[in-house]
Amino acid sequence: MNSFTTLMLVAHVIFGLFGVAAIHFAYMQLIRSHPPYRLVTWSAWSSVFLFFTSWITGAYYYVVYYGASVKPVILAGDYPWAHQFFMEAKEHVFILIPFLAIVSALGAHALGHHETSELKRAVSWTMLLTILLGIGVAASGILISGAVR
Amino acid sequence: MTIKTHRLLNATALATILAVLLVALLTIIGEEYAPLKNWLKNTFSHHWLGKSELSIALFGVTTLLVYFIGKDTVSSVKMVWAALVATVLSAGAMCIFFALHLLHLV
Repeated sequence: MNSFTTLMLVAHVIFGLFGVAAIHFAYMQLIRSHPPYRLVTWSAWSSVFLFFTSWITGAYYYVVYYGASVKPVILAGDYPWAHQFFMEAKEHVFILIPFLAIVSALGAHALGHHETSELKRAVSWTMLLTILLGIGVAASGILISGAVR
Repeated sequence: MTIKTHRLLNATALATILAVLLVALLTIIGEEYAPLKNWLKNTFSHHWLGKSELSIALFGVTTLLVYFIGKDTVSSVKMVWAALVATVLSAGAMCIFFALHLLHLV
């Protein structure tokens, strides 16, 4: 793997993890009794930016390197299911996350203008689902990395 | 909530519903019907890039259409919940499909 591909992989992981951290921070602030909505909105939009950056950098690594150099090694190794289930699920579930993050950010923005308990509950659950999907994707990435060795 | 914020939230929620369902449909049907996956590969150079780009395009077009020509009668709360449910269904369907695929049941 050349240094640029390595950089793209590292960037994909770091931006993804920071994206999860940002939406988690937004969620923790949102569930307070008096949420600081500017901070919640700013943090949620940061997660959108981080998820899309993770998407672009991950796309480069996945399309240019993974399919030709990593996938065959995993399929020929002791843990082919790491690709057959975890990678296949991860690469597709990942695509859903940025869209959900946009709904979370706009929901937070809307709450900043006019708070209702119903919308706050819906946006909180949307953020929580974004966090859970992000954690699932990150954990799958760790497992897949382990299967290569 | 201003009318513009309400409309934009509804537009992105509906766009999310359509985009996440598109990803699930292209993924599951593409695995079972080779011509679809081949079309994605040939058109976008990689099937995953095809799903990514088509979902972004659908999200963008739907957001613009609903924002500019949509009506303001639908509850934002319902739309956000619907986006959440659609995402759960999409992610769940794909995970179940790949589990069944791993077990050679599909």
